[in-house]
Amino acid sequence: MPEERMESLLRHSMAVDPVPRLSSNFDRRLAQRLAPARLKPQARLVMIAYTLIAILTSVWALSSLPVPTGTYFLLLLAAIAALVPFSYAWTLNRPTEPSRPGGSGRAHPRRNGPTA
Amino acid sequence: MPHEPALDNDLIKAYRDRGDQAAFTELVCRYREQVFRVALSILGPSFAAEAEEVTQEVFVRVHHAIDSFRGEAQFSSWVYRIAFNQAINVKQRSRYQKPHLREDVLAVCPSPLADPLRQFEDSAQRTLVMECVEELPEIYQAAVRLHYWMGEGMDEIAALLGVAPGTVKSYLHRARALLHEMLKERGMGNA
Repeated sequence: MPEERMESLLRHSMAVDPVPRLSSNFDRRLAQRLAPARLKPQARLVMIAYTLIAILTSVWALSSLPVPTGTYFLLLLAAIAALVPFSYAWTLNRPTEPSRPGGSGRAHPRRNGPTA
Repeated sequence: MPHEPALDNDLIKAYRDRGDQAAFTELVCRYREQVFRVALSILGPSFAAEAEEVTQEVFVRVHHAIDSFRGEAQFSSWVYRIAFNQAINVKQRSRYQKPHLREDVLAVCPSPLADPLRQFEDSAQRTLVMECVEELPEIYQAAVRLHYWMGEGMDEIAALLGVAPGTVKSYLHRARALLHEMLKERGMGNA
């Protein structure tokens, strides 16, 4: 019987490879990936100082130009607003609903499966 | 009095509402091995490191998307489906990548005591079977590896792949038929 022969052939061929297990540091690595990325206090101070210096320098540089005060405040606001698309893109990058298994294969499992 | 394990939905609620880290850890502990198996069943024995990466990625995605889980399906089905899709994506990316050298590769060097011809034939046959398995549709590969390699039963495979047990039987039947044809084409007439 080819069915039985295939069964034993598959069992025999696959028995050679031991089934691997998750490595012992899996949980630690996952915890690291899930931990919120926080800056160290020193790094945060540097970032705050950099931001303040950047803003003050911009204000000083723009105020020396023959531009109305409203315009350079508008330019500053525009620079801050330019960050919004980046944060939006970041949220879009987060996963939501996955598609069903088998979608890319030639065979299709249950089509009317549960939806999360 | 024995302590009843918390339901998945209770753990999800505890994590969502109170930020209970232990609840999320419990969910990871419950499903990490099965997720790893799903990934491994699609990627194959030579890609265990990638399967572990997929497992990591699945839980990172679950963590980010847990608010969108509405509880209409079982949490396990949702997680396995993410695992399946993620493993398929990784497989498509690593299709042309050489598999890693297995740790036991030197252990199969012919010993002076064993029959070298028999060893060679066995090894060639095994390589041919594994190559043919690689050419099956992914869902068949997953079913074949879960059943013949990892020793999972029909119900377990059905849960992991999100299909009915009868469908798993049908996948295995069709996979064996396809393998039989492929092996015959490649000159392994006794398959």
